Amino acid sequence: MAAVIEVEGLRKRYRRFRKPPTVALDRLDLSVPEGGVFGFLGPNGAGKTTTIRCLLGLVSASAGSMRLLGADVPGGLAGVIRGIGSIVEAPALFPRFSGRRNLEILARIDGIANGTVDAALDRVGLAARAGDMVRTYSLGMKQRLGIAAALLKDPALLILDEPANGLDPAGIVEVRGLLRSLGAEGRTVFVSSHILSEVQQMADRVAIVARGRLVATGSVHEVLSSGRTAGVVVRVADLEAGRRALEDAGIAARIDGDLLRAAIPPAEGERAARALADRALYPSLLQPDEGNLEQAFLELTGDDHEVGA
Amino acid sequence: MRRLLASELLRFRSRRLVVVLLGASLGGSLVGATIAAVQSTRPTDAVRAAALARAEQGFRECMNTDYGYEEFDGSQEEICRENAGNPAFFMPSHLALAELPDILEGISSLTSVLGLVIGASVVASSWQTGTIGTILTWEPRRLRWLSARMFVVGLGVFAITMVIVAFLSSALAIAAALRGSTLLGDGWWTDVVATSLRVAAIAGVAALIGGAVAAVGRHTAAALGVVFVYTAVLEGLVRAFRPLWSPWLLGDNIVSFVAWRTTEFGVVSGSYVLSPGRAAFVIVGYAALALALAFTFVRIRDVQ
Repeated sequence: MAAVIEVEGLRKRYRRFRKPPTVALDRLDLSVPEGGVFGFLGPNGAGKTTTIRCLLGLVSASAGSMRLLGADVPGGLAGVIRGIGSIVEAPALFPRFSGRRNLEILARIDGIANGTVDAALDRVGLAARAGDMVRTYSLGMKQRLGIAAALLKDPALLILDEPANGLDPAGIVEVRGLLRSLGAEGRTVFVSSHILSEVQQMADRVAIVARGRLVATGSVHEVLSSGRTAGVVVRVADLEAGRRALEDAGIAARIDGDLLRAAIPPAEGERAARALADRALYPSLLQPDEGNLEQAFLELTGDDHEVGA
Repeated sequence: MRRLLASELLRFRSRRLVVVLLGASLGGSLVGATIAAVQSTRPTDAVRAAALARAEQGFRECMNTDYGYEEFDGSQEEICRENAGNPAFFMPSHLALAELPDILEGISSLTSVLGLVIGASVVASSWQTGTIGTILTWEPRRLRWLSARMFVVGLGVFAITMVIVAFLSSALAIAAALRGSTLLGDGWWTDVVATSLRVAAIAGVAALIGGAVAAVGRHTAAALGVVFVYTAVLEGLVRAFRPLWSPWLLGDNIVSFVAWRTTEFGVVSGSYVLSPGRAAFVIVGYAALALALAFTFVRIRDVQ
């Protein structure tokens, strides 16, 4: 599978007045294959937005190389930008222009017809408010307008920085469905997000960055299992008694909320069930501990556990 | 490039500031012409005849007196006709359409400020609203984008100024026809057209300079402040303490260019000449320097 985004040894250092420079990206490597939804995760200050800015030529890299849709960035960016739709942080649009006028101004740069503008507005559910000034829009509506702007070019690659930011639950579900469908159409949707459960639900592959470096990448399943001990989760009425029963049977276990996490391969879950039943503890739940992206994220990023943009 | 220009043009004419300033300028022109008409009294034939007689008398007296004409440019007859034998000097104050070129010269400072504000605002707004990031993800060639924007800003302000000048001229012509004088001299039309073009050109250059400074400072107020401090404070100090440097100052050259007159200035430390042709070169030099700075800054600076 060809890579639509390739980053090698990307380094970005910001000089600061009378202060030591900060390193936002520290030899970051990243490869995003063509097609599907790719989640780009990391705690605050991990370098996600800086990576996106570098990829789109908004900030210059201090070192390293980047390729987008096969073209070198920034030198060849102009040749492929027609195929890239993007939102960087909050969508920046003119607040005193209407939503439609904002899109028309962008559309003219590429000679896109006004009919396409209307279709994009319709697709994100803003057709009825298209004539209103953007400053009257809610954050969620601005976000949807930003997505509409990104879709105008009918792009092969979408780079979206926190696209669900500010959306209400219904909007989040809507955007999730939209991004999934865009990925299913064969486009590549590169999404940076701090809503890990969202990414888990829509991404095919993910990358996790911390302190400007890549700490894990692969399919969601691969990242979920990386660095973690396989196990089973158990729910019993008396958690403490259950933990003791498992440990007496030689199974390491710990209480996690209203669950017990037992460190045995899921295939040996019967052992745990028997150990509990011997003490008249009957589990109401016993299943493989698949964990979630949030746990994997916290484990992989270590001390950088503040989840954010 | 054509599409980029079309996009920038749509953005320019969608700006509320542009529409408001144009509307205010047209409204101001209308009010000004109305006041001029109200304050003007149409000269009667008898008043005209009396002014003509007094002008002839003044001319004759001037021709019979030796004021040391050899020290001035032009013949004695020309000097006397212009300074003592002009019937306009002896007419009661009234709106004379013949003076329209001078009136247009007078509004040049206002249209230049208008151009400066529009130029600075249209360019800086992209940074202030953060839309520069959005635009550059559609056109990543920054110099190409800035060229398109500057072209539209300069040309747009030139066109707006021409509309204002045409509107003001029309309003004054109607006012003069109703309550003033419409007596026109030879070459009046040429003078009006040339002055209008120069006034609009200076407004366009002011927009380019305002836009260029805004592209460096990324803020409208900062750009206007820098231009104000330079023209009003720095150039004022130079004029006061180094008067012989005046031929290199923007303000002096703009005045010389708009008036399209060669003038010699005598100061304590010497004298200098301002000619309109040279003034045009100096003004273009200022604009080129500002644009070069803007292009350099926009090319190399990160967009956050």
